[in-house]
Amino acid sequence: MAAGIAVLWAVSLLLFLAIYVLPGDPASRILGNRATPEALAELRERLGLDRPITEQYLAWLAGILRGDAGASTTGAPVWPLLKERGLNSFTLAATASVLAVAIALVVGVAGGLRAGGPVDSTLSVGTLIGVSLPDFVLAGVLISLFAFVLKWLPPVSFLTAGSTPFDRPLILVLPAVSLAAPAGAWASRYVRAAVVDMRTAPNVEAARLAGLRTSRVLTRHLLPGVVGPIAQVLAAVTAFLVGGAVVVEQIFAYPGLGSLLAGAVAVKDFSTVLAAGLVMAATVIVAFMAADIIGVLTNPRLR
Amino acid sequence: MVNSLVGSRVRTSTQCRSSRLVMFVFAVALALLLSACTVTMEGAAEVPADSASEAAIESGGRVRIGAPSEAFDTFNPFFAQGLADWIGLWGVYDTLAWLVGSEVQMGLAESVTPNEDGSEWTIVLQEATFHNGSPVRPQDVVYSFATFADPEQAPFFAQFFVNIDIANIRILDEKTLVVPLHFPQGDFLDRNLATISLVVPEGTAGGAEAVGSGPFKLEAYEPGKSIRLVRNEDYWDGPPLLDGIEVIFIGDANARLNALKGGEIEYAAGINPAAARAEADNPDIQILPAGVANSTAHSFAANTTIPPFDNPDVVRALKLVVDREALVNTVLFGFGEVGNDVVGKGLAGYNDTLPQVERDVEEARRLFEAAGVTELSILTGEVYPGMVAAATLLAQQLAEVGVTLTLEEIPADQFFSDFVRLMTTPLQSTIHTNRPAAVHAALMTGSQGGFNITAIAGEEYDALLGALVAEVDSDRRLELGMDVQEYLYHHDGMIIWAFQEDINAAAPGLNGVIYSQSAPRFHLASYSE
Amino acid sequence: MTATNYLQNDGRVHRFLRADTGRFLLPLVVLPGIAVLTLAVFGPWLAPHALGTTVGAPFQPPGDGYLFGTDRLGRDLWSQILYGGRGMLLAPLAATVATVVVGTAVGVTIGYLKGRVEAVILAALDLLLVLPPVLVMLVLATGWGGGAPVIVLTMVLTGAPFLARLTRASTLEVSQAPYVQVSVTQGDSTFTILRREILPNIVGPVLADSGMRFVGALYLVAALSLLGFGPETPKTDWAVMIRENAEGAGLNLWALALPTLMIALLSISANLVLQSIADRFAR
Repeated sequence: MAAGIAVLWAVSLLLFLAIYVLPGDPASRILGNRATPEALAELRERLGLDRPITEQYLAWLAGILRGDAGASTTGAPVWPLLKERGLNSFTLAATASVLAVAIALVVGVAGGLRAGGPVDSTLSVGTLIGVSLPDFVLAGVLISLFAFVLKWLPPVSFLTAGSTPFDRPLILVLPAVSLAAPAGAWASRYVRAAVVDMRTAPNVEAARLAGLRTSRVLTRHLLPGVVGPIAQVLAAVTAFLVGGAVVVEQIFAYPGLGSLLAGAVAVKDFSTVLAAGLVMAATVIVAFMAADIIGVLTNPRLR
Repeated sequence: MVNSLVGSRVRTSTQCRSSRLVMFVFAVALALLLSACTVTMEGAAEVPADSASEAAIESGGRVRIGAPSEAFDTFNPFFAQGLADWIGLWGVYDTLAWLVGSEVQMGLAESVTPNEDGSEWTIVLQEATFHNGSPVRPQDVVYSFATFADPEQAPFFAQFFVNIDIANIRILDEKTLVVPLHFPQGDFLDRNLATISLVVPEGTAGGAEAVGSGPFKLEAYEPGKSIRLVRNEDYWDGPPLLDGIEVIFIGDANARLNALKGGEIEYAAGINPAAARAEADNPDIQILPAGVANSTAHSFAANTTIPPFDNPDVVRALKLVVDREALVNTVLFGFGEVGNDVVGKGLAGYNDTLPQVERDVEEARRLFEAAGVTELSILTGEVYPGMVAAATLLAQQLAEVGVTLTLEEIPADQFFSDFVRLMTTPLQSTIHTNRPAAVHAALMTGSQGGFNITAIAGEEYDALLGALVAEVDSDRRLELGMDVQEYLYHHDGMIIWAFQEDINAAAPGLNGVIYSQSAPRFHLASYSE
Repeated sequence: MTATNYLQNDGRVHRFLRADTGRFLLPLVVLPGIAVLTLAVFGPWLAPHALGTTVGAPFQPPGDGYLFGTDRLGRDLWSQILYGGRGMLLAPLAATVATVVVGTAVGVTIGYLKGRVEAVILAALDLLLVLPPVLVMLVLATGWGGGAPVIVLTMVLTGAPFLARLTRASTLEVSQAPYVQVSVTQGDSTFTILRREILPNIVGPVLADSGMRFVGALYLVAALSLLGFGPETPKTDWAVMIRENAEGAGLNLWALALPTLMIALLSISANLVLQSIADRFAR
């Protein structure tokens, strides 16, 4: 916990510095070619950029600790928007993660149990292709097929005022599948590796030699052993999905954190970029910490 | 879009490169609005010809509208830039006057009349109430003017209000106010009020609690999601037919079209021309090109004070070399009309007696050779879809007469931001919102013009333009406008090669959408599935 | 903290990541892989039309001498594809190489030399690991716009820590092995030991990992272009083509489908090729 907070603090420092160290200070980047010396000086003063950077950072950090992430370039406070978009992104990422885990478990266990056989090799090729297939490619194919040919699912996933993804869960399906397929294919390779590893573990060998049915060996001995590594992979998948859904969100017009970040970057809205970055990093840290805890809980030697 | 709305695009277009598509759509939407105006207006006002539309003129129905926004929507009338925001704002709020195609129509103002020299304007308000029941007062108008005139609060609109002497506005009674101007202006109504004159209750600035006097009331607004409006039963001009509209923020033009085709929305504000072409035969949607009145003028702008364009023959040669038809077909997919070097085609006061400039390769070659011009360069950027493509094609067309054109492309978000560069570049791509010729000339050209990148000025022209701007009599102003256009046609370096129409799309049962400055208005629209 | 366990596992897990793929994969890899890579590299010399030349009406379907029709500006689609491959290949390749070099160097160094510096560097690596690549890329893009440097830096910052972890684990393992100890007692220089004993043993896992690095970098390049930070006209890449031509899919489907297909093929075949090579080394 303490470690997590320490890392989060370090990330905040890193993000803050990155924004201020990159070519051109925020004021000159906001003004672009309209920057005259007077306009620059005026904007710098308004943004507080004329103060020493440590002072600026501390002021910003103090705001964050009070739950005030500052105001965006439109003058609206950043935090409410961020919370809403963050929840939307989290909902999508969670849905995609569940799908990804399902894919990973089925494919990974199936391949791992038959390591070296034709099924395994075929699945390996399949997952390599799946891993390499960009989500936007998949999204395009899925929209054509499921929204326009079969007409089963909506081609866009926008939300209206007052509604959340839970009001219309169907809108999550296509974006979630687009995200989950590559992630699941990637994770399945680790699951397979863990299964192969566990297959030769003494307790599993013993159980098999004792003549237990395969399904029983699987559920009682093999799967518990791979939960730890899988949790780690799942955490990595979540980390990827939280920050990596920008393109998919754009394709489906889904109001998530990624599209907020992309928009903020484009209009050089640094308060929003910083806050969104911090939320993303926090999510990743929490995901990995949860995975660590699961790993400890499910590992008899560490319990 | 607001940029187009405002006309002088001095502000960085949208700093958002990722929203170039959006901008595109926007502009397209704007243009569309203008052209569709005429068509749909007639349809709504008179009895529609076909039975389908007749059936549609029934009360009821809700329409979901997919529209692009800037990176951040605000629903703040003083600050809003996105088309989505503006569709919503024009539902919730009234304007004193507004443009339908080229017609100035009275809105919240019952009348707007100048004194003899146009130095004072008397505005009489309609008997109207805001959605909270309080009456619309002259004080609200004064507050709205004052806020719009403040560049801090309204950076994109302040220029339309700088000439108002706000401190000296006189309120005569609860319906009447007299607005003095710093400088007399005969076209204050046409040029300023009809462009933007939203009235908000004193002390407010839109947002989630916005209260206006418009045909629709705000029911809900969430940033990045949607603006939901319901019918204002007490609207002074009669309640709208629709039960309500919901403006949904969809940034990507392809996503908007997908949403329409998938039945998720009934109106897509701004779709891409190629997509419109492809969907032309789709019976499930109607493609609505907005016509030339709602369009964006594409130009190659040559600065007439910088060599080689200080030589009128070189400008002339350039005009003759451009293959306008080819550009319209290739770059605009046919959704537009060739230009004749004067803004305002399809709008009131357009001088259509000027002969259309036709391509003449031989004459162009002769003029270039005589002037010794073999190399040119053009500054361009994809501020608006097609600008770079047009410059690319221009290079090929110039190559035919032995002139090499070099393209200097700069990022879209920096294109309009360097004022000094804009004013000192010999040749550049540019765009303008199509607006009435007289209004455009007054806003953009002459020594006082805010955005005179061709440097068209001089005593003769300034006198012409000055007479136009000061003229209070509208017939006489029309005549003067014709003269100004003729002067520009012969002397300006602005080569307006086309007017690109906005293209929207809608479900078949939607009728009566009106366009004002390229933004759709739904208070006369009807919908039946 | 956090990512540590997972990545420490990696040295072990990685042995099993190598499926017996080579035998099956080779035929699958050879044709499309070589084809796409060849087109990406030599494309500009093979293109029938110069970059950015308008040859006809926009979004014409195939025919009239244009293999796949025209794009949104009436340019020969096939020529644009041939020009658009290099950026798509080179930027991710550079990013992958840079990531592998930096990650391996850091990993081997801290794994072999240990010491107090190791703890500090490990903490720094953990820090970088929690940064989502897309976030890093977008923050860098605010300063520098798009372009290969942003991609390379993003990949090094977010990918090298992962690789460093991986190679550190392998290095630790190898350096304990008796033959390495013998080498040390013989008085071989550190450099010699690294080159002769340690590097050959970590090439397999590093190569296997680099396939995913390439895929990741390619995705970032594409995402940057799709979000509008791509190369400015007339320069182009396949993702820019997707962005530009999506609107015309109804007129000339190839304008959208072909660049999409090329990106998918490049991503898949690059990953498969690197995987097969890794399998070779592992045997």
